[in-house]
Amino acid sequence: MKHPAGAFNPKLPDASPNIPKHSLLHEFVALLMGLSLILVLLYVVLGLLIDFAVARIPPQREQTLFSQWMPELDRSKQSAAERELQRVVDAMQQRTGIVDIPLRVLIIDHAQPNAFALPGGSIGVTSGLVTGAGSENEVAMVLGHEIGHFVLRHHLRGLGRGLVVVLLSSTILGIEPQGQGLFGLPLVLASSRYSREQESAADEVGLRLLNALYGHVGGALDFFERMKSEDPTLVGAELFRSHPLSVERVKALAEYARAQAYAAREDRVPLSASLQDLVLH
Amino acid sequence: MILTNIETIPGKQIIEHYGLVTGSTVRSKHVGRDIVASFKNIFGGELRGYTELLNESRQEAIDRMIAQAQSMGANAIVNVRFSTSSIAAGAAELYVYGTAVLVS
Amino acid sequence: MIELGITLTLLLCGLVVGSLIERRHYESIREREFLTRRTPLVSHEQIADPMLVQEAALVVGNVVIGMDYFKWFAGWVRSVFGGRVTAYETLVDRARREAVLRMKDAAKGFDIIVNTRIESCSIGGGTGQRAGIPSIEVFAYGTALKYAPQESSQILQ
Repeated sequence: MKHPAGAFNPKLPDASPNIPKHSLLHEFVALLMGLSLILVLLYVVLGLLIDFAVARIPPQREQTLFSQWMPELDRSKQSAAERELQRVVDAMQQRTGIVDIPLRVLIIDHAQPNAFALPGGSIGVTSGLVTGAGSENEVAMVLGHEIGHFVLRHHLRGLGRGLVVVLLSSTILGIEPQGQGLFGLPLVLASSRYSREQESAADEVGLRLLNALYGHVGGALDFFERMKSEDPTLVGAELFRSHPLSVERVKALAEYARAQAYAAREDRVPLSASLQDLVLH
Repeated sequence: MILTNIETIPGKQIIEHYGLVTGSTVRSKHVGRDIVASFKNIFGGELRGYTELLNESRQEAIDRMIAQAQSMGANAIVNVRFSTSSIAAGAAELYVYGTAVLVS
Repeated sequence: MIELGITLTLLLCGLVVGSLIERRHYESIREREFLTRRTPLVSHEQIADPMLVQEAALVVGNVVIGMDYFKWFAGWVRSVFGGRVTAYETLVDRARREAVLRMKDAAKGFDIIVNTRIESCSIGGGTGQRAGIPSIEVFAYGTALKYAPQESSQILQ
């Protein structure tokens, strides 16, 4: 063929410079393992850093920091029922010497039994929880559990860990959907497990406070015995829950009580009049 | 209408040239909207639907350019060039341009 | 849990079927490249004996090739660490060679293709919520020439 450069001699190029020689699967597996390792390390290290930082925030500082965002509860504005529970909380605090955390009790009008602890020093229970309780001891156990969260600074740790997760997923994994597909499940399992450990630790503090107030821990298990019926029956579902199964909690509390040599007497303090009035709502 | 992407029409003499002629189409290219294509995309390979779509739109752009040249009275277009530019997320413009000439 | 299962299934599908499709495509490409090796294809404009050219025409070839789920994932993991993203290399290589072969196919009956240009653009890769699996479109075009038949012994064909 006529060509200005000379005779045409067809040659096929060897395509190997443009195509990778190694197996893509090997590279993928190696990189994925490396990425998983890095993420696990970061999660653990940042978690430790959070624990370290949280231990350095004293309760007074926490109150000033968070009281701007959280409902400011004036003790003089508390209802009669709330004052009753406040009395229980104050007594538990004084008897165990946890007086440096100012706590305020709040009752939310809601049929579903629930309790919570908010940064800033607010402890709340729903009216459904109080009306469902058989004695003051039961409510005291729940309040003691929430105080346990405060003492162990769980609410701040939760905030910190949430930030860490958001940081990791947005910077390293990015906004593409591949990261969520592969790493979403391990992350949920890890944070659920951490949450369950926190709940068990708060249970133990609650038991201690109960014993300090009444001299025995008889009412502690009543609440969880009743909650056992709400445990999920699906195998493996307990791995995703933020709280341990009620069955497990009862077992763990019984063991802790035995180890601490707490007595479990039969006498219960009945709910006071103002608390009983909530039943009528 | 003869088209080349070199500066001359080999074998013929350029008598006059009339200037730049262009043709363009705007197409939406978002694969995410086409469910079947997204499904096939999991396995890779050629996306025939999209190949034909782009082929047709390029042909349409070329036809528009030829129509412009014909209206000028030209019978060939030299130095044809193609260009693609992204207009918005998922929409791209296919653009072809050349010089319209009259050849013997 | 289901999300992880779906992701792994898609990865497996992409890996198995995708590499099969790719292998077959490469075999086809190599075969056709061998068959059409005698049709010259040059990237410059110079023409030998321009007045002996009988016919000239613009020839084009294009193809859109999508990557499979596994490649997309592998490319993402690689891009976290940086470096040569080999997952995408076979994709662009195949697309380019296929487009050129199609252009040669359109130039059947011609003697040489001059001033070959190859252009490419990516299709379909959104970001974030709209992320689809991206694909590449390659478009090759050139001027095919046919010379008047000659008795000269300079013709190598």
